[in-house]
Amino acid sequence: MSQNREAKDREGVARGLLARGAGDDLQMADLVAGKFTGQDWGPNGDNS
Amino acid sequence: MRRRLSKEGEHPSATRGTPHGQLDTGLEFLPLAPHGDEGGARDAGLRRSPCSAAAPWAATGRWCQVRPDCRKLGTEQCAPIRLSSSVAATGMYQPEHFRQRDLKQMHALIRAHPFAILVSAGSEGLYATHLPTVLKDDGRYGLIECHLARANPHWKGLAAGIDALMIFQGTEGYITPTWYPSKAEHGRVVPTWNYSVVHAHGHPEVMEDKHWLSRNTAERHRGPSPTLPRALSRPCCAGSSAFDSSSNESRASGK
Repeated sequence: MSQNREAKDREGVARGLLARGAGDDLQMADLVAGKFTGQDWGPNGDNS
Repeated sequence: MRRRLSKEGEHPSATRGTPHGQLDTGLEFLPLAPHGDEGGARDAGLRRSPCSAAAPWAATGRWCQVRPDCRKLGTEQCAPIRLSSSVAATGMYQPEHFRQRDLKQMHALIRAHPFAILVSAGSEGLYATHLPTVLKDDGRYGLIECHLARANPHWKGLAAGIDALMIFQGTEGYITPTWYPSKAEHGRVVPTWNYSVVHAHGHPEVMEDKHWLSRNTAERHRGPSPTLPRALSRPCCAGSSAFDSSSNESRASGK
């Protein structure tokens, strides 16, 4: 989720999704934020 | 016995006729049916016999599965059940930074979003069926079970042993570039759409046993998935066909 963006943009996406809160937004925010905690759906399985 | 898949980057067609297929995800996906497992065959009520010479995979010494007593099961039609060893290429645009390689994550998505799209190209042409699924922890990579209406001609193509693709769509949503702090810095940002998806590719095995259907699919839907239609909670699904799809290959992306 937004793996092609730099960290500050990913954080912005997570905040935006939480604020919007429509559809899958909250779950997707968790996935985007998960990149920073090692619980992710990130590339290569290494949280890079 | 299971064999390793071919090396990453090898074209899937190069593996046709070998027991297992190619993965370009870096994951090993092996057919999950108990190939060469006589005990498993007996447990499943199947008779195993060497593949006929006409079978393209005969040279590998693998076993075909034949259900010899399906007439006793009261099904309207008996279809031989076979395990195909060929793996066709599946296409998925998958930039490296979006690629998911974690099998646990793939399985989590499948279980969280079990309503899938089953796609195959057979004599009926390109065909798609939308249906609920159950992912079983069977073998190293799991086994997907589902069923579709017997009136749906799709199952006949699947019974012919063609390859199939199952698509599991996870979360998705529009991403506005206004959320990117970098927009204020350089403005070189564009809107996009985030999504997560798993493609599972394998060879379906049509099950003609109503008892199997009741035991393995309806029962599983009844408990843990309250969002599924009630009709799927019925213990038996007369007029339905069911099949397993062993995952020879899965690809997953999330962006």
